[in-house]
Amino acid sequence: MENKFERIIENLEEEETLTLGDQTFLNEMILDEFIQCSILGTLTFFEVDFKRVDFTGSTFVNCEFKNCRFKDVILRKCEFWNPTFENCQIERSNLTRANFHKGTFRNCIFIKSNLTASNFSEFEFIKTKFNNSDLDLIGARSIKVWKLNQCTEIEESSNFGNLLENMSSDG
Amino acid sequence: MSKRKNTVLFSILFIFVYLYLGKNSNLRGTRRFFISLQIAWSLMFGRLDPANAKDNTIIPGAHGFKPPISRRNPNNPKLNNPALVGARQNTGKGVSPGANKPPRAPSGLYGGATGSGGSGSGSPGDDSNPNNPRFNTKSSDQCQNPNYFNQAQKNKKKKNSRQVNKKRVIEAYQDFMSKMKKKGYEVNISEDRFLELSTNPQTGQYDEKSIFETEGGLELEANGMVNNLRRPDNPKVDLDFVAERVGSGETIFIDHKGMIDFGSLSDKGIDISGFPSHESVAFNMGKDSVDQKRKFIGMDQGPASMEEVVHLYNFENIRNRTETPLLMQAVLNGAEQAGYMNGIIFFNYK
Repeated sequence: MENKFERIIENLEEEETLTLGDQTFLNEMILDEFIQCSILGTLTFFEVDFKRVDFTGSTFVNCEFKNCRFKDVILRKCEFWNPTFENCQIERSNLTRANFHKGTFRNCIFIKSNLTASNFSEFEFIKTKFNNSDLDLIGARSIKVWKLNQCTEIEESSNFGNLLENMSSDG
Repeated sequence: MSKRKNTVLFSILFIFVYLYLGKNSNLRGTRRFFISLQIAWSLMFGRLDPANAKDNTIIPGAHGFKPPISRRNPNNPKLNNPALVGARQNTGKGVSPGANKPPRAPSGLYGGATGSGGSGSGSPGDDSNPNNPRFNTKSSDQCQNPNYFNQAQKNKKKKNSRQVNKKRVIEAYQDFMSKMKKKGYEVNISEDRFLELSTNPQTGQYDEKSIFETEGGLELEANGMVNNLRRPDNPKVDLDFVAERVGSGETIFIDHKGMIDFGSLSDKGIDISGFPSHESVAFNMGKDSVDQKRKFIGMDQGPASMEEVVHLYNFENIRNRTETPLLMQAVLNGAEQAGYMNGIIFFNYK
């Protein structure tokens, strides 16, 4: 397995911020990396496993994550612009105070993850589940939540976590 | 296959070869023992070529290898990844196109073959449904083995660990102090204090984000707006700092926000035409900050009202300085739209 992403990180200068764009990463495993405050634009991650990666404070623009797994990943205080998450599993990860704008979570599952004080605006949740996750103080603006072909629209909420929790518990 | 099974299989094979050589050859003693061992080893592992070796779970120590999703079930090609080995039929039933149908994923790399059109409960072969037990198989199999990460780590040779160390924070401190001097601020901030503030309260370690936050908070202190800057006592109050306002002595909570210049991407030849404008980013930051001011009100040792939460907007990274007045206005517009325009401080905008 070629780990293109890790090779890029290894080739960075000691204090250089990771600035990366227009690339596709396929079938990779990214382990134990500290890439805080990175700027990532127009990247596609397909079947990529992120394990113990610290992205704190990073900015992701137009990034797609398909069939990816995040385990013990820190996405705290990250900014996501137009992200797409499809068939992703996010486990034991820290998304506290992350901001998500104009994107989608589709067929994703959050397990034991912490989304406290995160924010979502102009976002869609499609068949996405939250198991044993911390969903306190989640802010939401212009959100669509799809479940069993039913769409719930939320104009504004400061306690969006309750709805997400219900969405997961109703089967 | 477990190590125990491997050991049992290997032992049986070894005994068989040992007995066979005893009957059909002149080999005796240790020579027979070692040759039997060698033959048994070759029979068990010898046929594998290096490319397949890591996929074969028989090999002791192969736990560190992660079979990719597309190869999770080599015995059942139907379960393999459609994008890599051909499209798979959507097994969804009873879903007809209609106004109330969730939007489908655009086809492309993923091929649209496992979109959201499956049955609610998920068919056994459907990768798209997180309820599908197979969805969880990969990580649980690997992560139940405590050696999994260790082995992977051992195999990995990191040229460059990017974890922030004390030396890096001290360098940041020195840069910060000389920057403050250039700005004409008289600062009395010790290295130890800078180190303490640059420690992530959640992890107890230095990191880049905490250094960035510290620089903003201390600049506010350096220009005489606040003093006694520190991390909040209650970690649930998830704002960067707490401090006292100079003069009134009232407690305020501070959050430092930095603007990103997407030009840093286009410098590297990356197409940023589809990116949001800096203005729209600033507008959203202003809008979101109002929600953030509300979030922690009433918490133990948290802000009592929105007035107690201040947001610092740092435009240091914006290279085109003619842009900053527009961005400042955009932040204010966003905050106005969200209904609260107080508690905003701009810096590094000139």
